[in-house]
Amino acid sequence: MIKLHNIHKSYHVGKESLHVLKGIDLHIKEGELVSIMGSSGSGKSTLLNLVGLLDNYDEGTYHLDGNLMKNLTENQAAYYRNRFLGFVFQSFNLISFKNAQENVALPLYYQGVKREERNAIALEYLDKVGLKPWAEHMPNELSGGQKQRVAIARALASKPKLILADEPTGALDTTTSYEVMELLKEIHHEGMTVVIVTHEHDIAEMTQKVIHLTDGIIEKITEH
Amino acid sequence: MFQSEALTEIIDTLSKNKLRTALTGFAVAWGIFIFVVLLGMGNGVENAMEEGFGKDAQNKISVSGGTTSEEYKGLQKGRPIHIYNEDAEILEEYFDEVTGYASTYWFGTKTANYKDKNGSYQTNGIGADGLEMENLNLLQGRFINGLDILHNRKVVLLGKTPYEELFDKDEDIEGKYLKIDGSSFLIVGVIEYNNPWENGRLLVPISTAQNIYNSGSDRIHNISLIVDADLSASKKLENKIRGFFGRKYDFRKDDKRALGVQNNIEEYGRAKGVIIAIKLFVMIIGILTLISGITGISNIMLISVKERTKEIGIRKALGARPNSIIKQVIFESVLITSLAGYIGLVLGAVLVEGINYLTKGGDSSAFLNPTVDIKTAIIATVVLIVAGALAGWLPARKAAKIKPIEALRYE
Repeated sequence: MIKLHNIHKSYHVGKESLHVLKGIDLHIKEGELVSIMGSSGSGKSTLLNLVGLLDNYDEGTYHLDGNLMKNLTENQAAYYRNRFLGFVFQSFNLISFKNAQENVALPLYYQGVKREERNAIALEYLDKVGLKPWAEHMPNELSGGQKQRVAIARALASKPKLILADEPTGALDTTTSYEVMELLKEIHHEGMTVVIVTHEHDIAEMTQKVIHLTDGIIEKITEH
Repeated sequence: MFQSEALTEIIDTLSKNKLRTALTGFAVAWGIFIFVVLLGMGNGVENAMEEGFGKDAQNKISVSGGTTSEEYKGLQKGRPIHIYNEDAEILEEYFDEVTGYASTYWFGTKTANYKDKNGSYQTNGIGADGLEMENLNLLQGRFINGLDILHNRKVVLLGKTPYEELFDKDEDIEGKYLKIDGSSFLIVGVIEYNNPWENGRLLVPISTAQNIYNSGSDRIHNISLIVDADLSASKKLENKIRGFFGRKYDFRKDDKRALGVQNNIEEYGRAKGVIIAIKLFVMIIGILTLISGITGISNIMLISVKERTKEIGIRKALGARPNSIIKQVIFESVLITSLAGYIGLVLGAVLVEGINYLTKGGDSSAFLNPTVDIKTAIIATVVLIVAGALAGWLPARKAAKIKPIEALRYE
């Protein structure tokens, strides 16, 4: 599903150049549940952003489901984000003036799905994450765990090939974190490829494969 | 491209951000409202001033006798100056600029009666040309003509008011006689003046009037001259006329009270200047108001896009293309401005029409028909909509260009 070969990425701040990723080779197969572990500054979020086409890389090749992701136009990137990828963020990133159902339906709007149909699909996914009764609630009326479940429902609604979760439990307490992880594992059991970035060992332990990232290179890969 | 889906999404977003929408809308509606009202007022003032001239011939100079206010060649001041039929003829002969004339002899108020009804009316003796000069509307019959004057005919032309007061509604005047101070005059026509207060007149041939009421004297009260001259030429002519009468009747030519001269060309020119100044002033204020309206939308759209950077980042992460982001912001802006512009337009028009309705009938009003020039108002609205689109487009384009990861980090 994901094939990275010799990926390099630098950030330029003024005259300073920060070499964040120093040659990443990685292969994630379809249906895997993978976590990327590392301390802050190790480059794990940068890696996820590259994979999620939210940022671009300087060197190397990246194939997503067999397609080379290089020099994409904004519209092509938007297409792949919309059709191939589902994001789950640490800070949820729900749109505050839309209720839970409308938030979940939003990626479908960009797929051109009609309003009635996308609302029905949104409700279906809210049901799946156990939040059907909260469909009409605004994000500020939901708890952190509920918000993250709405975000997961949103990520799933567009039927992506891949779920990318950036510290999905970072803003949650332990119990809630485990609930969210259970949900992600359940999604994985249904056949979805899931990549989770985390710095918490117990979270990483719950995945099949842990990629340890240190100073922009893959230190080791452990399998459970 | 612009499906109802996109419209629904925009309306949805707008209705969930009511305060922002209302503020933007208010700035626009207010700008257009003020613009329309100012425009209406400007037109009202212009119409009222135009009406004041009553389409009374604008190329007219009228001359009437006065009283000297200075001694001249041993003659005392306070001497009345009278003018006569021949003076009018001489003026027309003597000055090239004068293309026509009419003399008037004022009797003052006379009692007129028809059958059992009677009333008192200002009665004037008038030359034939005078009727053409005054821009009158003939309601029935004919004007007084040259033959009436030549033969001292006892005929009368009725103003609208005496006709309405003495006759039944729509009564035919043909072959009927009106008694003025006991003598019978054949009624030849009914006329309507542009200025309603002039309608209470009775007009008879000037020769008839001079015969009956001034025992055959040639004296007249007023000469109206039709003049072919621009402003400066008309002023020169005015001066020459004073000189002519001064030599003929022995008064100083700069003794303004000895001879009454009313130069419509000059007065109309002056009024026109005032009207243009007022309209220009109103236009400038209107445009400044529009600019402040545009600044209002630009500001709010700028802030709105800025505070939505994160939202834009989220939308992009979910697969929004840059164009759909830009389109959304622009259409939001355009939707608000056109809707609010329309509201401002309608409210402004309602206010102006209301003033129009309230001032109607009042005859000394400073406003008349304060109509809204719909073309200008629409142009103003379109300008605001375009400005709104631009105000949305510039920041939206910037926001749509930011990498989603940066937009997502934005707080």
